[in-house]
Amino acid sequence: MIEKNHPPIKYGNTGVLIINLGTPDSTSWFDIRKYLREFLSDRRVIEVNPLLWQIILNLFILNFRPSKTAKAYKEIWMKDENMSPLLYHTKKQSEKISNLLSKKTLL
Amino acid sequence: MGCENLVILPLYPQYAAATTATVCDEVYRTLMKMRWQPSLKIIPHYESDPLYIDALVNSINKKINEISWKPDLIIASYHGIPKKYFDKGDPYHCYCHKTTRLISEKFNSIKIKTTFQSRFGPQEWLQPYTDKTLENLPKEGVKNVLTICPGFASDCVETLEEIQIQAKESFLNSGGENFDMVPCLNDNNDHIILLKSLIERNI
Repeated sequence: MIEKNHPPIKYGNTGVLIINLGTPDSTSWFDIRKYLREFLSDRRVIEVNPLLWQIILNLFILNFRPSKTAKAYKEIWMKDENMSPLLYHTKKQSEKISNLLSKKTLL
Repeated sequence: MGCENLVILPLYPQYAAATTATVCDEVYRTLMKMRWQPSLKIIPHYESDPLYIDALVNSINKKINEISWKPDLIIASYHGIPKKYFDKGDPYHCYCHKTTRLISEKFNSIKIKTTFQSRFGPQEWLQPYTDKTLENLPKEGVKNVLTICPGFASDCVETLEEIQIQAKESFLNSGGENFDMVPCLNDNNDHIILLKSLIERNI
């Protein structure tokens, strides 16, 4: 028996995470901008001096690029599901793998 | 409910620092804050896994059976990276070519050419570029082209908008006659079996 005030114990669960690239929440200018900011701030994606890059990113790219990217996303947005195809397919993959891996938790 | 063991599957068949390593960095960063860390297993890139190659070959065959014309060439278009990253030692370029070579070995009726898409900014990226290649092919007499994007596990803006809408339009405007794109593996059966197998081999 564990004492009442014993800290919580994790049992032998195995979690599986499948990870793909991020995707905007919607095709609105602000959501596209938020997505681009995160993606383009990744220093493994853009290997430029971080300080210099943040200036370029905030002054130019995050003002001019979102409308162009939003247009592309509007062409392919899944309106019924209200999500990007990437999120839709990744969720489907996760569901289907989850059903096949018994007892394993897929997030 | 916590986990004692954690298995990570980055859905990038070809390793690149900008994708796979970013995923790993984030995982490590999260674990750094934990007192009781789970054990960690990160599933490696799978650019030459036979189940992956078979899934791609099956998807090409399925598409060829659906269309009413015969492709002169298949373009295998992967997301590009700046050439500078390759020069610094990123193995991504080689893994992309490896995947194309392995598909070609199982599919010798039509030639497959590797190209790189989604260029961004003024510097040079991996070549040949997908858009430029597609614009030039009709001039060389190649007018019926099927495209596949093996590096994308799921259809996304880079496949559905950039290839299926933009690239198709520019290919047809340059004198091309037929153009189609093989869908990504998405949640098709072969893909789920591949992903399940990758997980089970690493659990």
